[in-house]
Amino acid sequence: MLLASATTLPLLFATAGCRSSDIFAGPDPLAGRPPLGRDVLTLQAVIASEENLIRLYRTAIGGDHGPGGHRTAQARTLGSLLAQHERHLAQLRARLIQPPGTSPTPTARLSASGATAGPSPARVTVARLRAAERASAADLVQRLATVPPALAQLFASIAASDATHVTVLGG
Amino acid sequence: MTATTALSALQAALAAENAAIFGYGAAGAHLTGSSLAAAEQDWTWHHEARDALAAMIWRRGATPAAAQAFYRLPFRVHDAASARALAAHLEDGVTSAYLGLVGVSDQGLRRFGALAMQAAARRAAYWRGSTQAFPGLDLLTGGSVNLLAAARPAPGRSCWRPGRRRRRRRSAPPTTTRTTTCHPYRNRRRHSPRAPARPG
Repeated sequence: MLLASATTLPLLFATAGCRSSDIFAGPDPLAGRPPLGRDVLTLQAVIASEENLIRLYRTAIGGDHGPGGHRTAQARTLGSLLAQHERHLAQLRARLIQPPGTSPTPTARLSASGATAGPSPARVTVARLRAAERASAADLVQRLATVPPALAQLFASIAASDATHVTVLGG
Repeated sequence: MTATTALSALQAALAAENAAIFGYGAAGAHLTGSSLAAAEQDWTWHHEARDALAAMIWRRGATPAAAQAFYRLPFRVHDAASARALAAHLEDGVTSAYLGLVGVSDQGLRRFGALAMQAAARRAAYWRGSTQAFPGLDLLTGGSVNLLAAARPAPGRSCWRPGRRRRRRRSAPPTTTRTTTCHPYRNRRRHSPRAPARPG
């Protein structure tokens, strides 16, 4: 009886010209998943940007081997910067709470191995990394205005880290 | 966050700048060549930042907190290595103080704080010789944001200026931000006129 009521209730509302929101207060349980908030969208975009930076670093390091396949000093430097970006990504992801079944980031998706699904550049120069770091720092500062204080502080700290990376990369 | 909190964040940043000005005076006494030039450049930057912060506080109808007469250094500074470590410590503290400004609701202050954080983090990286994943936040999570503790004057400090009578502050400081500092030009062992050769 109860089951029958639960399944037939929406039908009754529909035939009567009522929506469930007319009956229940609060979120409409029948209207589907609510849209993501602005904070979530901002965080997703920053995560996507961080993933892109990591992809660039991995490509740059992968193409930078000295004689005998040994990592060069530059590759080691890039590796330490990459490690810091991976820490950034972990912190950003920890702040993102989404309903199950939704994509973690809309624009860049990492596979289990960490490689992106999209096309990756064949070669990444230090100049390109430097430009990407500079752009990332500027983008994070631009986003400060619309996020809560705690997230703004995380963004500002990551932007400061990116700014130091620019210097390390010769900027 | 209320306007009062924004004001307290500005005062905290000002306090950090005042401590940095004092600390660079102590560090500069043990630096030479390009390191000394970099310290002088940074010392000047902190003076300008202090003045900018004081002006922002005045504009909000409050009085900028005056600098302490003396500060206790976090460790003994006796050579170039410890002087560089002190400079990095100072910049870490300044970065952390500006992080407080990023937490206020005023968007202009947030941006100002974030850009000041970047400058301080770059200077810290120069002095430390390495970068950090979370400048400013590392200190907060470590539980300590104190830059330099205020202290009574101690004779024998490298920044101590002989010939000046020591006075104890009895009451609240006057309404000025003029700082009693050690200037890196003083007590230095050698001066190199060359411009600081460092990135950023």
